[in-house]
Amino acid sequence: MRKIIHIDMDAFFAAVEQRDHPEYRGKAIAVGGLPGSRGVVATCSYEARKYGVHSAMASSLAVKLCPHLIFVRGNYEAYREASAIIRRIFLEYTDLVEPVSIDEAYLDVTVNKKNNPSATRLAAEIRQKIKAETQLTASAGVSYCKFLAKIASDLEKPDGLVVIPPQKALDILSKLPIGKFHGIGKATEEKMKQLGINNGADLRSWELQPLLKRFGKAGQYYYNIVRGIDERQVVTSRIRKSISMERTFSDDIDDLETLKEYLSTIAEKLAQKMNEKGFKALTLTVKLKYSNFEIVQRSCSAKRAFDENNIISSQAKCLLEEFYDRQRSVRLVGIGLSSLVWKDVKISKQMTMPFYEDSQYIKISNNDKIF
Amino acid sequence: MKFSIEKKDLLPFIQHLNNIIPSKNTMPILTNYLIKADENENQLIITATDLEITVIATIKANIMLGGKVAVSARKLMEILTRMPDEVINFIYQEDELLITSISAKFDLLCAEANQFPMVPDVDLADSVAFNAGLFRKMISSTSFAVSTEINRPIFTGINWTLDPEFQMMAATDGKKIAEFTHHKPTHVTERIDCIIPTKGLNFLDKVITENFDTVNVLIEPNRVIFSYDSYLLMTHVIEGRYPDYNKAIPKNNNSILIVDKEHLKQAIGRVSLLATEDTYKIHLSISNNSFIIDCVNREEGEAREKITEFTYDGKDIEIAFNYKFLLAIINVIETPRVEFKLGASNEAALLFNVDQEEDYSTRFLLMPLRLL
Amino acid sequence: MNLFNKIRGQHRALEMLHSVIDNNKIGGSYLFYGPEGVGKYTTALYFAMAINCLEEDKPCGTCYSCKKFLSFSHPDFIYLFPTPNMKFQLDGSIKEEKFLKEYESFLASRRQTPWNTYTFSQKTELRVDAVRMLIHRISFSPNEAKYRICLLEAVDLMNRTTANAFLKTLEEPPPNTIMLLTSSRPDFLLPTILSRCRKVPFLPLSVIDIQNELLEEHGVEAMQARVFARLASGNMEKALQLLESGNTESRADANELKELIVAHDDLGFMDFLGKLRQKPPSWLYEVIIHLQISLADIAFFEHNQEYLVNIDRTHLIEMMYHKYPNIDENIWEEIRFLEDCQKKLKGNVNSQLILIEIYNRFCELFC
Repeated sequence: MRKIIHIDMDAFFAAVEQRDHPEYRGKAIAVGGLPGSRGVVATCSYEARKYGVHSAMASSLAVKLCPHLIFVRGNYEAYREASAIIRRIFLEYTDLVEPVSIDEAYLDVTVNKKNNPSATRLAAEIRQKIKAETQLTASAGVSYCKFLAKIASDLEKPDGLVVIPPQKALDILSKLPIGKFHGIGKATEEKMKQLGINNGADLRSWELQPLLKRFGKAGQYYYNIVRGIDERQVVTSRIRKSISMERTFSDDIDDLETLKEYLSTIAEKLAQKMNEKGFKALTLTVKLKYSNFEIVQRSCSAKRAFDENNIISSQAKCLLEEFYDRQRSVRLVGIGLSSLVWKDVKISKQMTMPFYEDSQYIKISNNDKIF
Repeated sequence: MKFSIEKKDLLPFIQHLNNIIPSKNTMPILTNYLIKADENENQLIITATDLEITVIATIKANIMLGGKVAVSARKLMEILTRMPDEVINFIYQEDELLITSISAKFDLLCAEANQFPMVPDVDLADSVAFNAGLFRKMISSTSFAVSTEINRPIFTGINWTLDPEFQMMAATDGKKIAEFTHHKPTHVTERIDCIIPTKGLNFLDKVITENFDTVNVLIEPNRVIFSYDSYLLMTHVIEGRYPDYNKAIPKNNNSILIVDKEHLKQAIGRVSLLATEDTYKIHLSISNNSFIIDCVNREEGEAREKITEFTYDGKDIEIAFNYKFLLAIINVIETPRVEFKLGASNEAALLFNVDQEEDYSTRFLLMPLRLL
Repeated sequence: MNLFNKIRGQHRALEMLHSVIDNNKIGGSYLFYGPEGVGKYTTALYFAMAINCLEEDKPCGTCYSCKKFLSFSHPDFIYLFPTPNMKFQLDGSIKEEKFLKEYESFLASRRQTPWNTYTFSQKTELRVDAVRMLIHRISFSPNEAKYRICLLEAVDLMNRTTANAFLKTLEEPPPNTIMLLTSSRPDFLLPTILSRCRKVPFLPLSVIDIQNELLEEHGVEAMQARVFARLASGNMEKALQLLESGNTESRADANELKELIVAHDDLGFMDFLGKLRQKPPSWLYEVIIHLQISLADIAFFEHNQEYLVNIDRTHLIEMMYHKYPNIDENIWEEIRFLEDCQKKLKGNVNSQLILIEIYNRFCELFC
């Protein structure tokens, strides 16, 4: 049985504003566009929610519902800072952190850095720490899967901690209004209500086939979650910094062509490794150790990413030709790939005007340790 | 050297100059003020320099005996601040500066005045007057775009062109260009170009307040001198010719987007929360009936915002920018709305004020992020 | 007085520089190369002063320009030397108090005498931050000098990145900017740096030059000046170092050890061993250096008395020579034995054991 915690900051932007501006405390405030300009509310304080104001609502409507609503322009640096602190706290407990947005994350604490078997205690501790370090409150939900953890964190918001143990899961789900199911949006909610599905219990009475028929692939998901089945893993997207591979020769080599062949072999293995891990790299470094143990290296950055064998290999050879001192013999060659990103991530690069520079290569600083 | 002056007549000048004094510098002489007492004019001339910029204050005082001395800036400032509000007497003898008032007395060891970097004599007769407010606007509209790469020193300054017919400041770091033109004849007789380091200009921007109407400028081959109030500011210039950036400015950007500035700033502010620190990328999708700004961050999730109030005339376009650069430009747009002239995804975007009726104009260029 | 006259033994270099100044053909970059401790830095500094000196007899050392150079407060004089990583800022400041202090002490020691070896707390090299500061400073117009001077000491102590960053500046320095580089290992320089410079050669100093410098500038006694001039092998810096350590305990202790060996005084040696505990590890290392010099003295004693170093201890040399007249034939073996001991010391072998080994071996030789 897994132990998942879902942490959700309470009215995050608005809470930061109230923390930093005492005059806003206890008042209905909204962060976002001003009512005159067709803006929308990004977040609002709980005081404002009492009047029915909620996020994504048009500012002009919000001000009608709550005439004394104070509009605040966001201080995004402060939000970013608070978010970073919270994230650091999470990482004290586990590396398995999946951020959903700036104020919300899942943690898998089945195995954790504190060796504490009680996810409930950990959740309480995390909430306390967040409060101590940011003066902000968070709500936490604890359960055995992401879906239920998320439901739990929402049950006693704000500043709540709710645990849904497996034996209570079905009960809670049964009573849950269908609109509260995470993953069921407004349109689906309407459709379900037309079919007479108003809460979890109603949904559970449906067989799989009709659900698939009505809702396509999502039907399977609805069928599972209402039975408390959610196998989705907490996926972290933290990525290692670099991958490298080197080869030491039993006899020193002083022939450029031979060295290039070794680079090809290394490139092939590296490309395979990158493929297995699902990475591509933005920087490539070639390293040489001469027979007197002097180490030299040179790096370049990519116009497009290094992922395929032939790109790695040809760029590495190109670099080698540029800086290998042909008078000297070599004990070791290696290739390092750094600035790794996931393969499916779209990479973008700041463009520069040609008159300013058009150099493909970057120089490496002494502090870059790739090998 | 011997002179006396009321504390309140001296302290503000010392505080102003203190901004220039470098701290923890490897050239200790720079931590001093050069104080010169001019008997004939009955004035004090106090100089502070960090080698890049030099600021000189001229202050009326009661000079009994002329002379000059270099004295620790920090010590002098601390002593003056703590002195009672009285007339203070200064006497320099045998390497010591004696500072006395009715109730207090200090001896300050001094450095040799001729160890201080040479301060040239300035004749402001040929200087040209500029409207101070306009001058500040020129600086703040361009200085954000200078390069910080010291390997390309030319781009670390603002290029100032003075033409008989107009004047212009421009800055670029290869990723953006900011250009401010004042379309009024100037008092120069022939065109002058000089590249001024931002440090001096930013200092001016800070100290020229609404209290001054004009700034006088004198351009010499090696330095540019600004005079305001009782101060002179000299800045070295960056040697070299400013490259022609005009060839990087696209001529055929025909897709025109006009959008409310505040609205756009807010939206960018929110979406950018999820931008990663390597590129600060946000992504814009614009068509005739939809304008969406979004940002996908694998580690933290995604943000998306729909802009409702805009007009767009052009081909559908997807383009990505470093949001910090984009905001830096939008921040110096003065009109309520901002105009984008766009070409293709991998081409420079131009930004302008909308319907601005002034005797000056600005244009900005921003290179996008290439989608690999 | 013309300060160039204070430079000893570098006639070729001075001739070259004089002609540059006299013909006013100053432009470009210069590499002052040659062994350590022969006056490269001092000559470069005087040359910089001569270029900007306001008097006829350049460099005078007394005009305000020269004075600013000598006190390192000239705004158009940029002096880089190997340092620990001090995180130099572009405007020439050092934020960390400890490093700023070290930097200032280095300059203070330089102002005192150029021959001082100042030891920084960490490994030194010419850092990229310092070169960046230089590039930044010279992008502005000069303040007051005719020619702005950049003096880079020990340019071979630059890593490749730094060298490349510097190269561009060396290739296209701004107008009226003169680059003066010094190096004792020109073979370690990038060929592109070498080819950009006019080369000013420096030679090892003669024994007489060093002796005179010690006598005239450092007030050393005649006998000692002779001894250390010989020991220094043409390196003024080393002469002063030896003078410092030579006058200290290690030389006296080496002499005491030799006397114990000659007398085969085991009990006395036990006391001597006891000293070891209170000494820093470098002490035994220095004692061994002095033993090597003594061995050479003994070997030279019969035929080449003019080469003797420990002239103040001739009686001991003579005594040892008589105990082992054939030392001539085996001297290199013994020197190598001592070198081996030094290596062991550096490899952290117990120093007491090493001292005992030396004592036993030498007692056998000189019995």
